[in-house]
Amino acid sequence: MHDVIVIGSGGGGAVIAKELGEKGLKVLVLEAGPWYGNQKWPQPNLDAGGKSSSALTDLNIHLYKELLNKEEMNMNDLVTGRFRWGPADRSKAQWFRNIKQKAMIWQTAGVGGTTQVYTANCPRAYPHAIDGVWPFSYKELVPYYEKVEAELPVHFAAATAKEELFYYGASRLGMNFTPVLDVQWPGYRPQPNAILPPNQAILNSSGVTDEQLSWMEGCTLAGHCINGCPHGPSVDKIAKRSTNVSYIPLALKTGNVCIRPNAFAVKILTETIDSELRATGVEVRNTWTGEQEELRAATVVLACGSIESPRLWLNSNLPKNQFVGKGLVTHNMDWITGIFDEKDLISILGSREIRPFVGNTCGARLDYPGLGALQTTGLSPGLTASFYGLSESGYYFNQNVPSKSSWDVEGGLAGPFLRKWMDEYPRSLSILVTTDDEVDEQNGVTLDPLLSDENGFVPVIRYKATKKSERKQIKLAGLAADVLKKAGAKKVLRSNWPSGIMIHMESTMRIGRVVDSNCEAYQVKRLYIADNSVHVNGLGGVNPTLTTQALAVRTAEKIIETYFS
Amino acid sequence: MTRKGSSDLYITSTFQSLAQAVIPPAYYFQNVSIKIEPGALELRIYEYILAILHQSMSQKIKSQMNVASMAESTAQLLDSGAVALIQSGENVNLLTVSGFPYGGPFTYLSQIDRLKAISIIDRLQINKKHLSLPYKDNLGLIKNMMDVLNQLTLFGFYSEWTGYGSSATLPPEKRRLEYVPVGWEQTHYPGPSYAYRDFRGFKAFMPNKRKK
Repeated sequence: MHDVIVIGSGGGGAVIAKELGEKGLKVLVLEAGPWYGNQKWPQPNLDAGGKSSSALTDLNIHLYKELLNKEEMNMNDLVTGRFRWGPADRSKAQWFRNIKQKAMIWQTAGVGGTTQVYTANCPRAYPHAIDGVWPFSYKELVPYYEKVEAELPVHFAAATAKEELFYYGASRLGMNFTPVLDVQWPGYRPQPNAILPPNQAILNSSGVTDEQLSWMEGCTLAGHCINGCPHGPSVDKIAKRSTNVSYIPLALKTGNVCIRPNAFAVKILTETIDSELRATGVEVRNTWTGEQEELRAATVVLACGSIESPRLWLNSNLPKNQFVGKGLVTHNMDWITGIFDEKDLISILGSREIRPFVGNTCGARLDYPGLGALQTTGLSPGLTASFYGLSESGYYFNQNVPSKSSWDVEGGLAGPFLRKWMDEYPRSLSILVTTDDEVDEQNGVTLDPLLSDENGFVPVIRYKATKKSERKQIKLAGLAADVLKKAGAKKVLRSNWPSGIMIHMESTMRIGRVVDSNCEAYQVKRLYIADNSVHVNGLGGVNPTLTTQALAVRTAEKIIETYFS
Repeated sequence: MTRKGSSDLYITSTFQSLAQAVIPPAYYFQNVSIKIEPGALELRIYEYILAILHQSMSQKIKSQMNVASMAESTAQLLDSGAVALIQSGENVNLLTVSGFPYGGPFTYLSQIDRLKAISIIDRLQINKKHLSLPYKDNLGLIKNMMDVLNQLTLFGFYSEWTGYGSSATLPPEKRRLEYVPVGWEQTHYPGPSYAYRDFRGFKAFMPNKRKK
């Protein structure tokens, strides 16, 4: 019998496990995917390996570096990559989601969850998106933000060429420079992110080789944030602070947390005690052997993300609640790319190329409370090209771009034009648009009534942006194109991504609807949620992870106050 | 719908012609000579697309959806787009049957017309009565697949798959880089790196940094 079972070891689960373990509670973390860099799983994609791990000494930096080999297909292929939503055994299919629209869902199973591939962006929510909307104030969240920012830790990103170019464009557009954490007004700033600042030895004069640098503490600007950052002297000192290298080692250090990978939670167990329904455990399925067992705990925390948390609720036949799964927001993303001339780059950057693969993947941002945000994105070429292939409006040659538009080309790329565009990759700068999209209860997660996999009925996912969200997205796309043009871009592409691009999923189990302001389920006592799904809204369009982590710290306090004090 | 040869040959021909249209060879003029860079057909990216389609759904899901082969259903879907394009008279070029002898109507189209056929499918301007599962009565999936096919071709070409050489068709755990991938070379991407010395300083520091 454990004090707490946490389902999921990603952005929220790892944090709450560490917080509870630190207070002396015995915590079991169940993770559906593999564990990379733990010596109990020397071949995590080939063999079942051990059952669980609870010792910091099990973490092995050599194994971690060997597995995270930074090759984009090996790591990021959504169907067969090490970072995929599927079982550890890569010869098996990914886990199926039923989605009947143009879509791409970017989630990753494994210890660390989707933070394994996240770009570690850690902006706080816009205060205006919280105050008067959430049941508690932004001010109440600030101490929790500060605690997570100190522990990850969070810094403003180091600049490389692409950030400099973005700042140059934003400044020339007349935007203010706003290097603050509590963003009230539009402005640009370095990305607050959970990436360790570069070691001073990165300077050419240090005499340290690149390989030696990759074994030292600090970001090496190698640009593999998404491909898998393996740089650092030990697992807990890896430069990009995915939770498997930050909060998981801290959780293990408490001596009270045990983590079990390859364990898919298929049912929340409940009992009626003293006339109230309580969570009492979890039924879990071993993804290698298919064996199922029941595990008991005094309290259960759901931290499986905005798709799997409602799916598990529904598959567990927990009490009917009309809001379970409803209200999905995704930041209705878009992608805008500029191509630059060598001579302009030389005068602005002192170099002939931007080399977008260098530096923090999303090192600079422009915040626009009320609309959303823009962020630079420098991806490896396979990922870059694949993102050019997505568009709600079909191929570029079918589109007539209105003359008043800030961009020159719109739509998905293919054919000779695509090749020419990719030839310009070293001189390209791409900007991700994240929109302050509205919660709409038509959007969300339901169960497929017919299709099931080994883990239960599969989720059906729907997202369509509201008209208001679409208008905001177009304004942001124009702003991104203007920044690029002011920076000197000769040609600008708006991809017009489908609204089903799901990288930031939130708000499917909202506070005030499914859980109370302590994040405990209204209808099931001792069942808490600690992932993006509890967000009341999309935070104004900013990256969700830091807020989930801050809330997880707060929820841990509430759990202890309520049941363990 | 006319089809020649066995199902596997039909599927392969269809995906070969798809890959060729999405990423054709490139011609670069160098003084008086022309340099030809291979496209997705020459680099066999269709093998990657087919492998992914094969693995994208578990057998359990496929059997519940009555899907025998995602690849074959998708090839037929591409043919339905080609038929709609030809019937509309919007094809730019004449049909030819010489390129992919085992393919259907999609393969008869010129490269640009294949992209136009995909656009027609994307707009759902096709005869929806004769579609096979999983596309029958699933218009959202049809639209999604048009993007997925594009994405897979682009990811296959510009990631390291072409560098796997003889190990490309092996399971991912057994693949090893044998060459510099063509897509990386063409985009001047150096591949996995330890570090880049392009540190240009910090534009700001965290305010009131709290000490733990």
